Amino acid sequence: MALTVADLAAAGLGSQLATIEDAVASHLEGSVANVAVIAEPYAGRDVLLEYAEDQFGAAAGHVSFESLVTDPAALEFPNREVVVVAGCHYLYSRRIGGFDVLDAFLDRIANADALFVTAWNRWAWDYLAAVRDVDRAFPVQVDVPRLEPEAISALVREHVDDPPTFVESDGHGRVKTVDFDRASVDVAGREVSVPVPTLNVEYLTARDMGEEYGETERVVYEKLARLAEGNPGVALALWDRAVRDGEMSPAFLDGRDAPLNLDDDEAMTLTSVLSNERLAMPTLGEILPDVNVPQAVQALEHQGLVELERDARPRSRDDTDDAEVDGERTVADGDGAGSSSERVDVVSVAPERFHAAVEHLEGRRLLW
Amino acid sequence: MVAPARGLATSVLGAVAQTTPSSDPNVFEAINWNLLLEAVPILVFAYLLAKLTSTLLSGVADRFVAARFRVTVLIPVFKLAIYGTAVYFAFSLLFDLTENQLLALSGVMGAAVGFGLKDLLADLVGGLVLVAEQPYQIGDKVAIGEYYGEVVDIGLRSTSLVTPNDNLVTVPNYLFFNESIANGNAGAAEMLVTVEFYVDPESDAARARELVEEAMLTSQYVYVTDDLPHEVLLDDDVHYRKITGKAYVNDLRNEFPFRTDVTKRALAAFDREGIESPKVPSGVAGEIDHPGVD
Repeated sequence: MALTVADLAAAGLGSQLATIEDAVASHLEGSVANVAVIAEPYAGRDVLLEYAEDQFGAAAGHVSFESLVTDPAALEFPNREVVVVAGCHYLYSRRIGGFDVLDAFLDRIANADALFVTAWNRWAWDYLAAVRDVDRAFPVQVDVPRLEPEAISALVREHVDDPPTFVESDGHGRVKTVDFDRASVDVAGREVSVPVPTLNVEYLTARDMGEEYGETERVVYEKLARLAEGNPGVALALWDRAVRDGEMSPAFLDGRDAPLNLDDDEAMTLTSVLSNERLAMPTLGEILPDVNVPQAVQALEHQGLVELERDARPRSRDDTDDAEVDGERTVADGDGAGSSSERVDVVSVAPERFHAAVEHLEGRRLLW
Repeated sequence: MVAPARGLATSVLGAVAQTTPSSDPNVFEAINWNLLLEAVPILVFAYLLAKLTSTLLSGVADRFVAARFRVTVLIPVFKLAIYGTAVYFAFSLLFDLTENQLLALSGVMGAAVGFGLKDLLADLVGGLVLVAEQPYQIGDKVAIGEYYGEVVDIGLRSTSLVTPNDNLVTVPNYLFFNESIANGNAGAAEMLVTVEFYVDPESDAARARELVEEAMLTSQYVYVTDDLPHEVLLDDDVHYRKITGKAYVNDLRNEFPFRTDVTKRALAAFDREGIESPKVPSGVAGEIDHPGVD
């Protein structure tokens, strides 16, 4: 379920759209201040970029990096007044020599007369801002924040044509302060099942939402916002998978909140996937040469953290490899890892475990 | 050491008994085996409760990963409270002290401390000061005297460290008053780690410096913010160029994996780019103690 500009506006991201409009106006007045659109995966970065492109009309050219770029020669841009660049997080990798393409890109835009509107994965941006001062090259930064439950509800209401009925169901679907989960305890070598009281956090925190929401509805949006980490795209994906026969209950939102058990290699693999969003297995192997990537991905897949798309094409925008059509250019397989027709396994982050993955990696300070 | 203290304690008690009104029973007269047996379970219970509390809080702390120090800071405080309460109840059970008996007991304690238990008392006072001042917490990497390691327990009498060689070192708390304590992280999860390299003066030291910087910044263990910057220093010497990289690790437990990771990848890059280790001229062997990692 793709996000639209109307969705983002309904979710309270009007100021982000206005910042892009201001950048357009400043450019038309002769000021060149390069723009960085920064957002988490699924958070509507492409929508904002398309909005920027629409603002500039025929003056804009588009370049999209769809997989890791390791050859500076791939940095060819349309000769336009404005260049919109998607997927800038593919311009680096965490290895010695992995910043060469990024440095060449920053040099290029510093010496260009054109205005560059660029899109970055949030965690890649935060990392590069810390170690490479990439933020200095982009005076205008459009940051897509994490949404509060009210904004998530507005987004869902804007997006969904036929709202479901909010119902209570068993377990955590019931709206109450404390639930009782069953846990197994080892007593003298025997497994004993004991009830463990669990605080219904969503119920307690959802009380601040407005009176226009029903009690169950409030809990649903609170839980949805928490599981999605305020990410609009993840929230809609979770919503779509949760609605059952026109009904929605807090229990239908399966967050799979089991604690994660990741070793250093698996955690770093997950960090790379989150920072790049969608990576071909061979590329992941290049980024992490010291990691047994197939084993790490298997462990991550087993815990539901990533989705493995087998025999897929490593890019998603179109089928053109390094082709330019009317100012539109897509750069895939820029590292020469495989030809455009080669099909490989592609790893991406799973929306259901997005919250758990982000929380875990932020706790370990692998995402900054 | 113990025998003289007992002898002195007996003589002090005798002196006190002479000055004590006959209506006041001797301070130790009221103590009998039954009372002692009642006091022992209190202390045993306190010990078990302190162990349980420590284990539970450590388990909770581990779930917070980098934020675990917010929990571990509570462990010595809880232990102090538990042991303090237990000692209070045990003394209340054993002694019902009048002013004179308190004076007599103080004399006994003073003599005992002066002759036999001064180190123990110094340790206990050190433990109290450690809880109050917190120059280090459980989980910190510290150097106390000649020992360096991670603090795994702060007791009333001693502090336990686990060294890089996995030795458990018990350091008496009184050393807090006598020794300098170097704390690598001071209650934070991150810690500055230094990695040193030596290259031949004929090699491109500037390029080697760049490679070390990239090796650090691309490590999976590094943590860089505006407040926690990194730096790479280049020093010149007659026989070698020394490159010192300094960066924070995201968790102090990753100190040695970080060093290993950076060293391995930097040395591989040196090999690829023809950057050589210093050649030690004959007659100066020993000037360079440990070429490579510090």
